[in-house]
Amino acid sequence: MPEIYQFTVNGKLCATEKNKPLLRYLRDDLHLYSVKDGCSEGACGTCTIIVDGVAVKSCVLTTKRAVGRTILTVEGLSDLEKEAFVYAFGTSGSVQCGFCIPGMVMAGKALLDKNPSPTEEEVKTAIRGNVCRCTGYRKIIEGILLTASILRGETKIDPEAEKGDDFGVGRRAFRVDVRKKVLGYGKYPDDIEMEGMLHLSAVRSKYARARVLSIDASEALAMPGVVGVLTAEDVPNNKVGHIQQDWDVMIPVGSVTRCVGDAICLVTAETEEILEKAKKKIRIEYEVLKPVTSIAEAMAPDAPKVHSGGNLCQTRHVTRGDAAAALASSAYTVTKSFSTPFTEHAFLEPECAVSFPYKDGVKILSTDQGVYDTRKEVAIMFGWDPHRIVVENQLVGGGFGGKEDVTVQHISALAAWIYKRPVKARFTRQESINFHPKRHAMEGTFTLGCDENGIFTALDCDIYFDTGAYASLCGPVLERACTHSTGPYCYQNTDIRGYGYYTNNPPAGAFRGFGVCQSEFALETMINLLAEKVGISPWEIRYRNAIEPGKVLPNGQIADCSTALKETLLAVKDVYEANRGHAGIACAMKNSGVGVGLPDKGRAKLKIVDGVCVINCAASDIGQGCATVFCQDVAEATGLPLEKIRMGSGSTEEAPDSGTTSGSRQTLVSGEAVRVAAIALGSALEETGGDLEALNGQEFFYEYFEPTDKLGANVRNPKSHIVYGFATHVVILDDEGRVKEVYAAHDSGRVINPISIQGQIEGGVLMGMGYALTEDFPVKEGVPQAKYGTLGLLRAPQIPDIHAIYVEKETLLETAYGAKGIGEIATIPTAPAVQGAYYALDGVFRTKLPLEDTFYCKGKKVSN
Amino acid sequence: MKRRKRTAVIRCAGGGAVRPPQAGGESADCAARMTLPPGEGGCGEGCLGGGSCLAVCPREAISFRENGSAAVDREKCIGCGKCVRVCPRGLIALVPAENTIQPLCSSTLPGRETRLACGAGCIGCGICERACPAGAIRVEENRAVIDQEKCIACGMCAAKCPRGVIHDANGIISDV
Repeated sequence: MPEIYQFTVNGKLCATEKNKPLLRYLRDDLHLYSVKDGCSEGACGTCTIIVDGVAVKSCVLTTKRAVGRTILTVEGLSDLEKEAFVYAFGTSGSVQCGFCIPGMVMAGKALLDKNPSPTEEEVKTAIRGNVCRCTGYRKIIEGILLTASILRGETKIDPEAEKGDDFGVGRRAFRVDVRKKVLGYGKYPDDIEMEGMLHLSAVRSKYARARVLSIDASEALAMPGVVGVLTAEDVPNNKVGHIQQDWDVMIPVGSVTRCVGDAICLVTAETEEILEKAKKKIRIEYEVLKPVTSIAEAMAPDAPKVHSGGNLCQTRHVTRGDAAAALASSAYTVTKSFSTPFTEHAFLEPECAVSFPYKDGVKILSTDQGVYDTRKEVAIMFGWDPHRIVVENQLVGGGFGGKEDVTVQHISALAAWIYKRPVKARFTRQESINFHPKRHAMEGTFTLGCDENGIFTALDCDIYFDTGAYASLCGPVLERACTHSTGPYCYQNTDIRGYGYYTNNPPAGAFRGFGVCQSEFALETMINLLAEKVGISPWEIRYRNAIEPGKVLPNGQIADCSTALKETLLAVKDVYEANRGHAGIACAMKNSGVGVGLPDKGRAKLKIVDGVCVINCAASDIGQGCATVFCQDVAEATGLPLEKIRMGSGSTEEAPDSGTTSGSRQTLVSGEAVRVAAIALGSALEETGGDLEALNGQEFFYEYFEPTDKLGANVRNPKSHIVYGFATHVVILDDEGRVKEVYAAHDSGRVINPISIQGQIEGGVLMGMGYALTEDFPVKEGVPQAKYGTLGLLRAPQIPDIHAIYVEKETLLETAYGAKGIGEIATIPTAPAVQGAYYALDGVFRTKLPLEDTFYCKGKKVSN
Repeated sequence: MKRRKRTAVIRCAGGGAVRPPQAGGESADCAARMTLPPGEGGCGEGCLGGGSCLAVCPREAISFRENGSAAVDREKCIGCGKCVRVCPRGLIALVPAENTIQPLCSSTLPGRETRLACGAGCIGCGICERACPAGAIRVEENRAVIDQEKCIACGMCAAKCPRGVIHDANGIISDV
């Protein structure tokens, strides 16, 4: 007789015969979707629930072990607790992408039940098992402390905060998606169930480079509940790709794999259980070949060709003036070689899509950074007119660049079309780590020169990127690395050579910072060496060289009136000089809007429906908060309260193409489209005397496009990008080398939402700190060696005090109310500032990331 | 900087106690028991059951299990470290209080010998090492050892351990 396991969930007695992870039972059997599956390995904490008062990871606990226990999920909180968490998290800015939030809520509640007045340290300890990649933890800690205060009766909930009557630009606006993310009813694709839904998963290559000799799916096909096994022959067009279509959907028999992420076949089954069993029955024969594992190997004359066109994927050559002559006549020069690793985005939500037959094509419910990009790649795969494919964004649990390429959308769409049923495809965490493109690993040699006063004269450099098995966004990333390697200064001689090589490592592509984290790491660390030679401080040399309005950037662009780099330097001057012996400083610039001559358009269509202004704009909110920004833009232009404004669905059927969530562009480019459309709405509203209902059925559309010059354009002062954001970071270490404080001063133009920008800065700084000190991505024979828990992600107890400072110059551009974007730049200057701090502390000039011999890696400790 | 709260962990839950357990008092002397042969179910490296730790504890936080091995009550333990110093086999360690998942075996005997000697012993199979999401547990000298700084107390090792050697102080993922 089968054992029955009984336990109580949210007050209800439950029973099951199946011994499985409680996480799966809660989601699949009880449909409690607040409990998230971020890894099923015990590493991420998104599955945290409360068991007999203790915060437990439900992926670790089994139904068998849970017998007799009382289990609580977010759905089971009391009304008071729910309102407390929503208000506290919303006003504190704790919620960005939201995927970690239910787990944080449960970890917080478990603490507060035992300790109603915890200290900050106690909160950090309570959430140490919960990873957040968006917020840098600061505002989650504040949210839990505020919740505690509410539950103790010391703070009252003010319903006006969420209501948003005063929601314009510059307000500390309560994000529009807080409630659904805190209470866990907001839907990410994995929370979707459809009638007759099938489950799909790929069998991926065992080797980075091997010839596929045969695929035997016969045993799997014979299993009841297995609907089919697809191979490359079933794909109408087997090559997809965000820019270059060099990425095989599946590797055909007879062809050679390029990385361990490569799919060999796709198995579709009625249930996940059958799917897992069926995958194990697939037999694939390989002829194992030696993989290309490094840039050096890829460059070798007799190197195996990863792609038929050879291993050089992309090159860029950026020149201006005469770098060689300028360096030769410079008072001081410094030359160093640098090495930075692959890094993993580690967004909390693994890739997932649900596709189903729709009209004369398919509809895809997706988590991605651009529904039109996804549509384009899927259309290429099918060979269809794109309109046959509808892509609709659900909530997106983080992206950081790792969800710009298709991952699960195209394969689920293929199966949905072939089997004529809904199909869900979800990556395991390890699959996610192995498949989606990483930050490029870089090897580079840089030479920077200056005159006797420390004024920079020229930059000459070679930048080599390992772009792995597929191009992904290698071209633009390499280009940005090159154009931004100069830093935000005003010298006019550069000779920058960039090379992106294919290898059999996992592909590399877009990742917050987009190549600039690598090249500006090199540049900013070398500036400190020049400062030494000249005999001035690292702050002073930057201030003397800093770009100003009217002066010319090294790429020839004339800096506009909003340029406030000097103000960011001034904002941190005192704290830097006061901590000279153990502080590092670095500046950064980052484009806002993709620029370089591309058709980078923002489009917004405001539609008045039942007395509400619905914003239709297919700009993916991946946690950065652009949906809230757009609502604020509309509120500012029209004076409408939030209850009369909402975001429409992010669907290619309803929302116009407003470009990718990339290049720190949504607040600027889509924001401008929303702003101008909203101004038109505002005028119409004036004519009706403020009566929005009177405008029912009307639409207000605006397309914003500011042309830019492409790289190498024959223009004396090209306008490469619409605008740049600027920043200066100061990192302060304690005597042991622990990062104590980071002062992050940012010029992002007009601040639309102060809480949101702080959250972006805090999260970006922590990501930059991880890049500097703890994150690595070892690969052996093309096989990633890391699991989610060993990537080196920083956890709550490790955070420094991050002071987010934003400077708003008086003269701003009119575009998007003067906002300039923040998404990437906060991650750029932190790593060189950490390196500079260590250089100040122990005199060792480190040229490799993650930095060696620090407090954060075993072995040596440093002292003053 | 405030000192983190720590708790004592006695890394043996096995039945190797030399004689029936004794309560605290002058006759409690584990060191004296070191020269005697191990009792039934003992690996020769585990808890002697003499009660030296129990006797020295200022908070009466230590008591004996039925099988004679000593165990710490985390509610009472103040992390003073006196028991750590007194154990002649060095079985006791202070760990961060939040690290509720702990392996309770110190035997360096190879797995097949441990398997024969003690039902509560670690056989060094390495399942915990592979299961750990954080790379925090390793088999060293034939038994599981946790890096207390890396451990996030997720309990995956305790859940997967085929012998129940890794204990959960909350008694949920595995037994206390």
